Amino acid sequence: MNISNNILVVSIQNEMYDEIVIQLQEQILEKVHEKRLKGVLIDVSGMEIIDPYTLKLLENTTKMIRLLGAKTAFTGIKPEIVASLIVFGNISANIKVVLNVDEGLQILT
Amino acid sequence: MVKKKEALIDVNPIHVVWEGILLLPVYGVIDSKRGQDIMESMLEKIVDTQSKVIILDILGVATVDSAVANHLIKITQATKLMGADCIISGISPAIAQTLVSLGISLGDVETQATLKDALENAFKMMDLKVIETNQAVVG
Repeated sequence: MNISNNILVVSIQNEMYDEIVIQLQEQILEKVHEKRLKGVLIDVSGMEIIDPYTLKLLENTTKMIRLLGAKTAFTGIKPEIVASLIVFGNISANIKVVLNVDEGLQILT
Repeated sequence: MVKKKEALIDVNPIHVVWEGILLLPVYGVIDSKRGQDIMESMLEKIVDTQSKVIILDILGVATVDSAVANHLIKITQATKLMGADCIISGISPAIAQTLVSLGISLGDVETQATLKDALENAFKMMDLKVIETNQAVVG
């Protein structure tokens, strides 16, 4: 996790088990609250699998961040993950996704 | 005749019409296999070209019923998850009529009647403006 220009950039490098997601969630929320951050950019390009449940957890995280007055954007979801989420999961994720980190930093500031 | 049809259906061309703008013309019949193929090749292309806007032109689609509409919605949902936006163009009056009378909602998907309008819209989304060179010189 690093902070640039009031934006917290979180890069997820490996698979997320439910406990780790929740741990990460706590860390992010603490950080946003403590530093009064305005945006969180979550880079998930290191994740090989995102199941609908994990997605739900991530979506909930964005809701919590919003309650603290900050915006959230995701980037780097792999095409095959998107395809399987849409085809099998039939999800309606209410998350903001950006094309790359640069665009994310631009949108969140 | 049958062979010709199959050959047409197998191709899913995706054009880069502008830096960051993809055009995906859809022809023929869309079933779940085809819908999935189109989606997958499109997602790969978005990553390859880092495109921001995708125009899905459905002018050549034979019929649009609830199943086809569902595929289209899924494709647009997928583009959103990649961080891109999708515009559906080529909606004819008949298709508009069918969709509404069948009670199918395309949700908040942006739709346009013609490819021209969709392209204009895409330029707007990318903060681009097309100007006549004559005017540019005068202005």
